[in-house]
Amino acid sequence: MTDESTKIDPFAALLRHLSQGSEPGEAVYEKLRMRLIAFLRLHLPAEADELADLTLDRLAQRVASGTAIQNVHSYALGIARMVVFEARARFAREQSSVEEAAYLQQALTPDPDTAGPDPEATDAALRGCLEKLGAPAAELILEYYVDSGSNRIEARRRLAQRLGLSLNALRNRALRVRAALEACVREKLALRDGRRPKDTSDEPSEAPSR
Amino acid sequence: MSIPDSHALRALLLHRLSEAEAQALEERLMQEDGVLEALQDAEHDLLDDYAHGRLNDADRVSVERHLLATPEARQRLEVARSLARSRGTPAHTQRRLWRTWPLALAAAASLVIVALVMPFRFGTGDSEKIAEVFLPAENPRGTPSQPIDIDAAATEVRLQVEIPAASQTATYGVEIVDSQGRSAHAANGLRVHEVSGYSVVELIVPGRAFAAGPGAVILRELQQTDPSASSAEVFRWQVQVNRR
Repeated sequence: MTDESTKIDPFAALLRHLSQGSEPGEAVYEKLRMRLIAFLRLHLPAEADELADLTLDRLAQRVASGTAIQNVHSYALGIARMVVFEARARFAREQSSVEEAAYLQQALTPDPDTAGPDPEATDAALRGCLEKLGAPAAELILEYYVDSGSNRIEARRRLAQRLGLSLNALRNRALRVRAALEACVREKLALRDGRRPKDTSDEPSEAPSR
Repeated sequence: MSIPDSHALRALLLHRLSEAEAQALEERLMQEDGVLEALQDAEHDLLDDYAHGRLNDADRVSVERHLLATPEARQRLEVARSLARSRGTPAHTQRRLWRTWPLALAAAASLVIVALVMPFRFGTGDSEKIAEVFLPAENPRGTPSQPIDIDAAATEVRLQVEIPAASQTATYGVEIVDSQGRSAHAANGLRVHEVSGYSVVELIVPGRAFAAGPGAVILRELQQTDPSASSAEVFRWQVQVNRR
């Protein structure tokens, strides 16, 4: 019989394993989770968050069981690929191809809860959120996402030069502002519709200063 | 190692890569700093291009199939559309399949103007409220105003206007006014681009800007080489809007 007190908590074991580098384990864990979600969204977008947690659970179990893992990111990707494979197999078992088509169609068909809001309401929310973000962030987002094709690349290069940033730093800043903007618009529309805003505590609540 | 270029990441998001190429990029996504952010950036750009109507049919379908499958993604698209509306849809280098066929019709020349000023809908579920209108720079003889039929449910109109004598050094403004001359919508800073040999600018207009009844669409030009100059009207379409 196993002594409960000697059992290794898989999550704690994973965090310890991820703490071996210079970054804290929690930060590496979060980064790993975001990358897994991005990978899974490429394959099964509707279940990405859930499958990322499943992947991390399995990874934690392996670490806790003493499996030798040299490259945790690569190992996690291997598990994630298997999770995708299993999910698709499960789906194939549970759904006929006709049902799958119906399911996919349903995914593309807005339901009353998720139907696109009135454009005027979205525009009003956007204006309010741009004001809330402040002029520098609003200008950044409007300039960063203004062009298309090769013009887009050139415009961003010029913007980065003007702000004295590298392209990567500019991109990261624009991503943070856009995430904050999207969260803000979502919240305003939810409040307007009398719905409880989705928890966005893991998203940036305010834009960085310029 | 450098971050994968935006074209490769865009192809990954659109599921256009071979399995081996996709797997190699996915490996880099997991291993390398900066790739996740570059992928998110590419996704925003794709959503923006979708919102502006810049994608060809195949890419549009692929975005709907792979990037708009969740309610969260569709909310993000609404933000992209709102951003597009807030800017009046700059027209630099944009090219989409839908633009080509009305212009090809225009090239047939013998068609009456009402055939060219026709709205039509996208086949996609979430863009059913978008009408599209093309205005050629040619006033029909003997016709006091051009009829424009716009679906009453259309919340947005993709408006494309031909520039009579296009200048690459100019920016253009488009204003929609009602029968009293009151401005219903205006967009500035639009640039000309070529489609099927025609010079056009385009913008997305809220559907309400095209109220039923008589009105006008005014095209103005501002020469960038002369910052002190004010914009000059270069063309005016008298229109009769029918909402049904």
